Amino acid sequence: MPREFSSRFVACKLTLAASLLLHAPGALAESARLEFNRDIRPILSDKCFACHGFDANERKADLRLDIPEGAYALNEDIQAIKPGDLQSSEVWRRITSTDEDEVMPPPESNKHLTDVEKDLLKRWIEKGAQYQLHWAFVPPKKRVPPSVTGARNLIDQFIVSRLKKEGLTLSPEADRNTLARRVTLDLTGLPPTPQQVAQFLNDTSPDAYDRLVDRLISTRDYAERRAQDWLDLARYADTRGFADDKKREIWPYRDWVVRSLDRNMPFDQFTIDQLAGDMLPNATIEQRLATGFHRNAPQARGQTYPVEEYRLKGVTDRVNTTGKVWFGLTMECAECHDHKFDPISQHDYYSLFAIFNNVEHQGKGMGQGGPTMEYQNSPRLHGEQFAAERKRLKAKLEAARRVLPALKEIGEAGLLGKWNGVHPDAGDQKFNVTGDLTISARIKTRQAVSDLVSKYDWRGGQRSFVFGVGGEGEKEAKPGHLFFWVSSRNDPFAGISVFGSHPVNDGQEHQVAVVFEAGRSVRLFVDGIEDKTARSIGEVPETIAISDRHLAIGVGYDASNEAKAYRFEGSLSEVRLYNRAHGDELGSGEAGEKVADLLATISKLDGKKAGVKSIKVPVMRELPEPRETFIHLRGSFLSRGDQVSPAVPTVLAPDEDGQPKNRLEFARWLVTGKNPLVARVVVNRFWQSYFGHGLVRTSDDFGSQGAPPTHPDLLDWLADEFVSSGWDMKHINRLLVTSATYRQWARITPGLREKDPNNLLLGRMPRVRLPAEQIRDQALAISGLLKGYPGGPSVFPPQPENYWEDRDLPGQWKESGGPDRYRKSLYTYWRRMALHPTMELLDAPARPVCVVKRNTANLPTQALVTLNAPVFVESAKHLAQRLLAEAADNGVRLDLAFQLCLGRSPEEGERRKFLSFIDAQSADSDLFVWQSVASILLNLDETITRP
Amino acid sequence: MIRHFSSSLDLTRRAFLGRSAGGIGSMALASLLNHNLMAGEGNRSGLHHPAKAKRVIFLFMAGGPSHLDLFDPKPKLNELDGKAIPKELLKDHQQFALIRGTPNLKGSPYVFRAHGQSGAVISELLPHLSKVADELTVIRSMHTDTNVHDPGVNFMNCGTLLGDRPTLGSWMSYGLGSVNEDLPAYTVLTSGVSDGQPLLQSFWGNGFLDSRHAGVPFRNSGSPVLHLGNPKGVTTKDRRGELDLIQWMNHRQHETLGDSEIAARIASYELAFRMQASVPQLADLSKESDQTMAQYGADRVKPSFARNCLMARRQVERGVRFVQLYDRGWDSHTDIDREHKRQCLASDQPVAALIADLKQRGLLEDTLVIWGGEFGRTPVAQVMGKTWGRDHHPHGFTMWMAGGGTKPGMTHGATDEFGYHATEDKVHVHDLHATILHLLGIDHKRLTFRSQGRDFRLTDVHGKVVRDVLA
Repeated sequence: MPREFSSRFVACKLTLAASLLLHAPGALAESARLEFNRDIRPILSDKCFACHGFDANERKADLRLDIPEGAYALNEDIQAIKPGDLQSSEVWRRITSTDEDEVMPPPESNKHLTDVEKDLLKRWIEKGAQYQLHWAFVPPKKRVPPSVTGARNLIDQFIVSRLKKEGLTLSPEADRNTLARRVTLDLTGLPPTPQQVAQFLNDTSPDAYDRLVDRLISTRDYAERRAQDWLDLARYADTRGFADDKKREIWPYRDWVVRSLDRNMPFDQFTIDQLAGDMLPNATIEQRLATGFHRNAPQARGQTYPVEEYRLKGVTDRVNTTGKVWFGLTMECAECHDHKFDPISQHDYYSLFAIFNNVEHQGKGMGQGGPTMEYQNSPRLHGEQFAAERKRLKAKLEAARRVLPALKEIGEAGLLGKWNGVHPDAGDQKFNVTGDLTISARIKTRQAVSDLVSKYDWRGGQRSFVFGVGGEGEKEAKPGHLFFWVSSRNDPFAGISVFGSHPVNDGQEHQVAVVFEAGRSVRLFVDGIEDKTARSIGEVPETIAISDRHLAIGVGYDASNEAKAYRFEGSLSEVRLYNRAHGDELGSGEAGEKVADLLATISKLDGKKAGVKSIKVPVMRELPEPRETFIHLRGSFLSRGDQVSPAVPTVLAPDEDGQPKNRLEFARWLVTGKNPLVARVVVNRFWQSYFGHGLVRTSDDFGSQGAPPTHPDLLDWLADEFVSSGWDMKHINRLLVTSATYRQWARITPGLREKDPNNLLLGRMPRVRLPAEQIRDQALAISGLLKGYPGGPSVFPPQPENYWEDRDLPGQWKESGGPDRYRKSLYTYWRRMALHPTMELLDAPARPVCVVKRNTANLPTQALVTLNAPVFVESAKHLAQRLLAEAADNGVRLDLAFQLCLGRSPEEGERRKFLSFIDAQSADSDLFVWQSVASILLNLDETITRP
Repeated sequence: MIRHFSSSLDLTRRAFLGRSAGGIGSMALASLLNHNLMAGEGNRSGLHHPAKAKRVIFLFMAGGPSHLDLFDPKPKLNELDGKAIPKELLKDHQQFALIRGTPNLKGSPYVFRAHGQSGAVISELLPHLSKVADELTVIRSMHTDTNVHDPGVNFMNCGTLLGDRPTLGSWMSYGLGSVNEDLPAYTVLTSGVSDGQPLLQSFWGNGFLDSRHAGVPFRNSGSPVLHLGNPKGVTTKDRRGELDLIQWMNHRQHETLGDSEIAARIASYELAFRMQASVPQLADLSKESDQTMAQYGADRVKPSFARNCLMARRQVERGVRFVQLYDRGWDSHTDIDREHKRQCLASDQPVAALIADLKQRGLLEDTLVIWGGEFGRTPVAQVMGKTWGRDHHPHGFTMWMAGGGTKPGMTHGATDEFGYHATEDKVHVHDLHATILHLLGIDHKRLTFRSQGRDFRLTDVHGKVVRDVLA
């Protein structure tokens, strides 16, 4: 049925293109021509649709006013609306009735029509009561930007042309200091450095600004800043919510978002990977990681009763989040009943639900459960920090090596044999060793895998010992590194395997050795230096098994009882076998110890970088058999209604054969470019991140209760541009910030205040208070404390003592040390049930659900944060130290302070005021005085506001 | 930069004219901060009828106190003590929270007596409260939607299990604004055993309302409000000097740009400065008489529920709209005798003292006191070795109210003879919310906030004012 419904709608005259859907009665000139979507739908939606709309169950008197067929229908000779005939329209009689039993809306509904609204309805009926399909469900049309003057790019043409209609123009361009600070804060989340501002000011070429934008948009900071907005939508947090609110290792998803935005992944792929990356053929690690998107929802532990209800809540959250992020619609109304305002039925809702219902994420006991993927923990040490530390250690190592004594010979005590070159059969003697053992050799090779001394045939069940390079290709071993195995049984293996941590196949000559001390230790030596980070698996045996194989030199046994595998290539000499442990003789004394320790430290450092730890990251995975999905009457998990199949909402539905049957098909369908909502919804959010509001101000509701777009043609044009650019996110973001609209001055003139108090027409640039993360990050950056290492597990910057304990929250805030204290707030541990108070107080959402737009308040408790919270006090102190160190007198310091905080020099009056403030301070410490100045500057409205 | 913006019609500009060295006039605060009664934000409807209650103190007994051992005696239950629970009670029942199998009924070991002129029936565990029985409006027929703690607390606060909506205090702050100039409108005080249920941010959350409507938790250690104290070495005078320069700069910025947000920022910094003085004064009990301290059974410094009761009285006196006290430790699964006695011992005297104190100060008349938990406890026993307790029970339980326009000395509604289901005059949590708002002069159907295209209310699409309990 709804298929016909929409096609019939298209038959109505769509005059959307010509309409200017502004909601500012009185403020702007009235367009004489009535527009259903602009003038009438909001009234009907708000006052009538609840009882006479889409929801069939709630419909009163069998009358629906949301479609013309309903409104015009004759019902027992009564016609609700007779186009062109006011007096025969029952609607008009009812809304003007004075009879309490007859008047509409009924008094008990608490809804009233104003005189203005009644007049609009009157005129609309008189003029023929024309309907229009709700604008958001009509696919965007190709729009031609009106030609105007004063435009920098096509966006401006729409904005300027609209302003012109009201006799307005764009405000003048902001000064260049403001521009530099504005665009740097917006694109990177960090303030520009004084050098960056100066560079921009000195660049007089006409494309200086565009090049600034290009530079900023190519930084990782840009990706991190955009990720912040996306993580609000993805309801990303480091805990799983509900009372136990335990840690959930899903930060690799967060890093995936940053990486993908950094390399400007097209939005269609960005969508498909996150919604259904796991279902792609030969899904990569990255694609599976991306599906963490829908594992971010809060999830109660498995036993939380009623178990099924909590499982369904998880699915519901996926449907609602998907609805908000890609459709800009509030799907959740239809969880319990047909949507009252938008054409989303409960059947539609649960059909979409069916698409997301096939993931096994039911927890067990105290656990969260659900599919996970193994993920190698990325380096705990971050780029620059790692490199610097390694460089320092390397230098120390070189110095230590320089004072090493010459290599010693071990001597003859306990020597069983001595060989040069390869000998598959070392001689008639059996060379059986059952206790302590030392093998040494001089080697020069580039080979990855070879045996040096072998009496070890595993295939033949004749194990004893083997020493060589690369571990016979076994997976635990590292090519080019020493290894030694020894077993106290011929078969099966009972002993220890030791793997060296430094390669020896570099083509240089090395003296290599292994020392086995029965029951106590196995030590590897390279050039007289013990390998202290050698890895061992198993126990050091008390004895060595006797093998009936010959001792082989420079070759080993494998699938044969003759030694002909792992043959050594290169120079092999001085191979010695002892039945004694000669560790002390092999070492190079104290100097050798020092080198060994340094090598161990470097090796550990490299190990951290390599990240040997593996974690389990929640991701999506389809059940082998899809679950059956039913409508849940009134949203209750106990009341099952009809069974439904996967499908998209009917109003958006493609032709029958295009109906997505699973998550992957659904994700692909979203980004075919034909969906009327997706591109509009996404570009609108981009607009919101720079201009404070979207072109559709209700960025989370494109339905009939939402605000209509202030610039519908521009929205359509941007949506089309987005799709035809190949869903290029950076392209759209660049377009927005290079427009003249974006470059305007932010001053609110009396004229603008009067004509457009809410700045709907964008005759000026709105100022936007910085988000919580940027307020903190900016203070750290200005003071020089910020550490820019990207990615990795979330960190724990200081938070007030006992903050969790006072609320009996499980877990402990283990404060990070070192640079982790000063990393971007993006990486702060995000606890859903008790967000870090700096973030919480500055309006960051705890993300229990998808957040499309943050609230921003202006509170005394926020002032207390930036005045007194430790991170701001520390930043002020560091800034003071920086000023004192970098500038010699108060005037220069003040200039630098202003440059750092505000991206500009103080004006003359400001300079005088600040200098006299400084002079009046009685404190004898410069640091104290300048800390005060720093704190003042960090607290200015100008500082915490994007200009 | 050109600085020439000025408008004689600018409200904030006018406010500055009355500005003294120490701050700006209260009129500006009234308009800029939270005193936005009837101001056009969203489609808030403001007050709808005269309010009986101007403030609320919500004594939240977290964990779920046992109605059967405190307010709702069941002779039948005592008679059938030890017998298996009748099957018909479990008919529409999903599952107990922790009990498995078919448990046995458990009567209350405590003695109940009628008290005061009203004859309110109260357990021997609450001797002090019994003395103010005539002030209470006891509702024995409460019921809620869940038997899990945190969804239950969320439900009692914001009407949804998930806790993603504004809480009662937030709605009140949003609907009525603040009536004081140097304290938050909505505060949260905590006490009780340290191994109780966690206190989640959502319990005092503002949902989709802006964060000025969030509850401000007062802390038991360190400064009562986070970051209240100046950094080390910074005196009040130093801070005033810094603020003057901040405000001077902000004022210039405002003149240049004409953005009213800047004026609001100026006001919020002034309020922050005043809070730095007023909050410690509020928390400083040194001026309270020994007699008062003894009446509440509170120590001047040591954190306790008793101290919080006194603090609540001091807060409402100073114009805080909504004070919520969380007392933890009521979740008595397996040793109700020890745990409920402990909780009652710590809370009975201060609750009675609070009511008497409010009354004596003429505040009880328009201060609504609410007592209750997220649910009650089962009429069946959860046995563990030699001790027993009761499991979570959402189908029938007791809450009470006092003052603020409620009918004193009455008992409303009833549960069945086992105390299992609420049967007479059932009061759902949504009904309780509707009633609380009604007492505050708010029609629960008309206090709405439009979010995502829908007009949300505290009571969702439910709720009926319980007329019988209104004075």
